[in-house]
Amino acid sequence: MKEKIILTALGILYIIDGILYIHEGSVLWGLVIFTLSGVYLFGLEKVHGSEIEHTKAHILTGGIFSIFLTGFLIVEKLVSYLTEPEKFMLADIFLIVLFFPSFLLFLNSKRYFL
Amino acid sequence: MANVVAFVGNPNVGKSSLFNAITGARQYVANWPGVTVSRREGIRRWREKEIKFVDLPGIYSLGAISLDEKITREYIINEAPDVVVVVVDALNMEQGLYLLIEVLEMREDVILVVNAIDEARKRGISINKYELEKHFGVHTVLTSAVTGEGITELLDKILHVLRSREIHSFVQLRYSEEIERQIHEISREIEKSDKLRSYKKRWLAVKYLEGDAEVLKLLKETINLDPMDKEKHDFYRSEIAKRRYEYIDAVLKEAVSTKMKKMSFSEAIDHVMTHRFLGIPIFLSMMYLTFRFTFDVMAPFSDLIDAGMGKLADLVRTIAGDGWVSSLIADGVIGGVGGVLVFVPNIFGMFLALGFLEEFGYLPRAAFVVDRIMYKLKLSGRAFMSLILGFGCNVPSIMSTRGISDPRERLITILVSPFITCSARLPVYLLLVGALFKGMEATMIFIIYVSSMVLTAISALFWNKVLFKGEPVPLIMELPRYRMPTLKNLSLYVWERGKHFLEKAGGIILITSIVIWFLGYMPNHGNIEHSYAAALGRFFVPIFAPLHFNWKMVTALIFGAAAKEVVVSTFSMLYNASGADLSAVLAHDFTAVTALAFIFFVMAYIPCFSTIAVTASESGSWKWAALSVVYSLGIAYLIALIITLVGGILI
Repeated sequence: MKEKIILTALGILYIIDGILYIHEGSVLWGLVIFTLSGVYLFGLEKVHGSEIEHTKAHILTGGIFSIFLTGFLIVEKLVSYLTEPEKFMLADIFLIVLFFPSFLLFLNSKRYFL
Repeated sequence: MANVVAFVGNPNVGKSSLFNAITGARQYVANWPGVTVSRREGIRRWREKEIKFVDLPGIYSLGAISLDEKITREYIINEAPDVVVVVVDALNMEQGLYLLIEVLEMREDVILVVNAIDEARKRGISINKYELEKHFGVHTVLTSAVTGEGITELLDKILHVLRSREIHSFVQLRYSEEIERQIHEISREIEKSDKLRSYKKRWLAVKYLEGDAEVLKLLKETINLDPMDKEKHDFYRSEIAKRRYEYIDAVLKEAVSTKMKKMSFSEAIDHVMTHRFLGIPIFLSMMYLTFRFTFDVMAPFSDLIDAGMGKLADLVRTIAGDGWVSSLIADGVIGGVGGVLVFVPNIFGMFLALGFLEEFGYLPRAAFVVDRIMYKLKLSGRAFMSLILGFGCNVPSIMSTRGISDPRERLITILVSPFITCSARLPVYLLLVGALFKGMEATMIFIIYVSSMVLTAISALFWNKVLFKGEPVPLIMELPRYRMPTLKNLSLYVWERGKHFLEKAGGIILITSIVIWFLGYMPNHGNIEHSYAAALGRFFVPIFAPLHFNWKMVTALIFGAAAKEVVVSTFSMLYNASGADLSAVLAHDFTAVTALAFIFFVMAYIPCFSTIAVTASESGSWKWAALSVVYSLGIAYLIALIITLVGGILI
């Protein structure tokens, strides 16, 4: 139950972040964030077999996706300092903030799998 | 003379990693099946004995259906290596042991290697090698190509077999009474023929019963056997396979024990990556990130190279003055080759991103995810894996179609491969997108790449409807384990593909740059509007008039037929500018619609010379290569015309 609440919360927060990106003009990046939100929200699906494994698998993959996207964003911004520095937008900061709960959940669920 | 040891095994079980670990070779090892499309050789001296190792393409059986299987089977028969090492995956032994049984029917001096033993242990799987030795009668070694475990033991075992010719106890799998009786009768006939002395009788007899096309032909030509109908062959084939799997199951029960039964890390990620709704958005997200990395992250490095090239050209002009020598070096060599080198960071960046996805193990998942779409196009996910290699270069993409067993599907994949945007076309896109679509470069590049995939898909459907009607072979593949890319493997991946681009810069791009400089400089000492290059371009301009291409664009397209990057170096010289300056000039000369039409023309028109040559060799006929050229030219013109007409109406 606790996992499902967290999945729902993260899914909704990432949707908000995606909307922020689209609002700030980064439409495709916003769609990528929606996909990440989908990874969390589809963890609530009813499935055959072990429901807990299903939920944990979505948390694990969502965490990897979040690490990947946040890392990508930071590298992109840092490299821009070589020529034309790019500022962090509100949506970027929100993505970095959301990274922390995603990462903690990832670490927690990682132990569950071999 | 060095003894020869051949590695045989299913795709992606770590044969190439073992080969590299033993021979010290530095070839890239991919985390997906079908990477080794032809054999690779390497030498290792072990305890004062020189041994030649041969890495053969990964196969599931010795059926000789796909080209990979043919290469491996013919090698074992014709080249007769001294020892055959069958490599199986410790996490998925069943299919590998099936191949072992087939190899054991062909020859006896075989060593079994169970690789990735470290991974198996992590998952609570323990393997008793003595049980495997007992049941298959072959020396067995447990290895890990990653940690190096078991490599010394393997080399010692190979040496032992080579020196003593001792083949352990060799166990021959027995089939049902009826099959054994048939094998006996066929073997008796085979024995009478001198031509078949080099083959193992039992193997030929089993293959004959299985209805193997090549063996049927061989035996029909050499001995008298009562003909057997297809149903009978099908019956024997299924009985033989059933018996082999029963035997393997029984052996595995004795030899393998699993303590834990939990979902693995890879299985958990796959649960999401191959999800019916999330699979495609995740794939598209990965593609978008790849191109965003290629453009946005790498752009500052390109700008730095551009500034360096500009300074170098200025320095040459200062030192050499205003004569033709200065023009040749500054405008011809630095302008032409440097104009292309500016995009080196983007190209290497794209390979880095693709290499990361491949190493991580994502690309086979992508093939699995798009298999449903590919099936509707009458292709399979296996064809997709070949096509995706085309993002680097179309040549290895076409060569990798050797792993496609269905000849119809293979030919279609060869014909549509050139539509996948290779790295040579990327500089052209980057140049024009940077000049005409500022602020949305990564998005435009993503759209262009997706369009190239759509064009490939439509073409596949077209060829299937027009020339080769048929259903694809369903995709059956093992998904490799996810693994964190290693810096060494990633660097090798990027370098092996990127160096090809650098070699071209020092070869064909340099030569064409000098030729174009000459045509642009003569006969009026640099008056480009009245040069031979202008005359050549203007001659063909009427054909391109409906597309609104001027003579400079046409000249660039003509020279770009040799290698697509040459389009950029031609622009550099004809506009006498490079990098940011060239972008500014092009923004003045092109409209957004013309730029888009030009980009799509470059995306589709004539495969480069190397691709044409490999199309002819892999399809077995220049007819298909010619068809590919004519078709791509027609499609390129049609798309560019549609863009020009629709753009003219809208803007």
